[in-house]
Amino acid sequence: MIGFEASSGEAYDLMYDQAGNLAARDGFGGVLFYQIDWTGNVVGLHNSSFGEEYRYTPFGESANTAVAHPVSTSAWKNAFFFQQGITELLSFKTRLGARLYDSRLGRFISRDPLHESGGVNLYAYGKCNPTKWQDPVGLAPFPLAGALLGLAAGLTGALEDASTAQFGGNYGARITALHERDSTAELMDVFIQYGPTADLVTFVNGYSGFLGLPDDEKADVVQRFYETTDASDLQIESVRNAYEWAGEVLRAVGQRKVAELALRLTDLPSFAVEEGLKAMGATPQQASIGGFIAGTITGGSLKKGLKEIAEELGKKQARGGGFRSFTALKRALGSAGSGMEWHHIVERAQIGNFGAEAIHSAENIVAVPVGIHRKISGFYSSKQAFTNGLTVRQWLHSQSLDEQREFGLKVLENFGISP
Amino acid sequence: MSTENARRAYELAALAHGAATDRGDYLMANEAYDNLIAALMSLRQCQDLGRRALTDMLRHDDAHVRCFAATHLLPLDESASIRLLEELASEGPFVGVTASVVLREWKAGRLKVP
Repeated sequence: MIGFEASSGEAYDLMYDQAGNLAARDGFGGVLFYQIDWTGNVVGLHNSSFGEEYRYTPFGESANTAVAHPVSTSAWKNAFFFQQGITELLSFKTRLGARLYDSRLGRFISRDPLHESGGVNLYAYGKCNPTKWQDPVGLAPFPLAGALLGLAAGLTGALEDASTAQFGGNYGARITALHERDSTAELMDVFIQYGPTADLVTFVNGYSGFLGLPDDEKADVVQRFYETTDASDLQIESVRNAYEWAGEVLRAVGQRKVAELALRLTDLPSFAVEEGLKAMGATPQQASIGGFIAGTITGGSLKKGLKEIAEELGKKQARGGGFRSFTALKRALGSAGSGMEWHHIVERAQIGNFGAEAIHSAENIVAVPVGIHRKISGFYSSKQAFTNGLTVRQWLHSQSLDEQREFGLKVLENFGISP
Repeated sequence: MSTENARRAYELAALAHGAATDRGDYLMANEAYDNLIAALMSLRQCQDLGRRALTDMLRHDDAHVRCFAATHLLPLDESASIRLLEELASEGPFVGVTASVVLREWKAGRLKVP
């Protein structure tokens, strides 16, 4: 038990569990219990009748939108929030072990005492990627995947109820934080069955990052979560929608359906809007603003504001002209279909002439039957009556993008295929 | 090489090239193309007889043979060749594409007929 005095003068004793997590306090406000999520954040403080809830962005800024930071409004003068660090009443900076951390800037305000051994950016929190890395002691970030592993490890210790599982998970997280990404999906399944529902967005991001899943497969993760728990609350439904929509967004952006995007954006919950905007290439701040708008404004201004954001991002995508790799393009478009393959209208061999993003764009790709695809590839490698002794591919090489596209479309048209 | 032998070599090479192109076999197609150009050179050496052999092949049953013959007759009988190539341009793969691109390139002055 450790004595603590809040900056406003109220005193209470703190109790920790075996894993070193805050468990309860006694003093001002009576006996109160802390609720810690699987990433180590304080997400609740309650007695037998009432409670306070706290939410955070990945960088630890308060997501309780009604106030700047709950440290200024906590009826029980709670000072422990993000990563269980002590948050200052006026500046909202958080003491994380060795250093002070500014969640609004997403960085520490002093250099890492471990110097470069804790990372090349001496002020960065969690390698600037807090959905994958955390740094509760301000020294060296460790992967959130370790927390997932730890939670699974804690669960395998025959812990039964969800509350205990959280503590077990955090305990496991601490002792397995340095694990490499070499676990199995089965452990994650354990987590899916027993994991807390408090922070689904963080969970899905962490889980998907752990497995290396692309955004458009996150919906499946949430679906599995949904199917393996008894919970059916609005939050799960919203997040599931968000990730399903994120997949839609990726495909729609790839297909330049900007107007449809803008329309969809206006009738979705804030979770969906935020994740969708991220999927469209928005910065976390832009996405957060979009989500905030969706959650707080109704009517015409909502539609107008979000439509503008969507259109701007859509135009940005259009200007970018595509993807840097065929893999990324296929991820956006999905499968070409049974018995079909994606065919580049202007061949991949022309990347050196026009750049990858011009070639790997939705406008330059079309699904064709496998047999026809092979024949067209052979045609491009052959000498023909118009190629002056070169192969078709060599003959095309000196031509412009538009000329090559016109030729590619003519070949497809000959097979009765139009993009 | 006699005119008849050159004509026959040209015809066989054009048939082989067309069949290989249609099935995506570019190695066979390119080998046939080289044989076709060699046969064309032999026909050119036969002068009027060679030209008459090419002209006869404008009425060949096979579209690939007609397409090559029309291409190679463009400098000698432009109107007949263009008329045939315009007909062939509406054929299926890959003769249709070849005929329409030959026409476009000829009209643009970029086609080099061997």
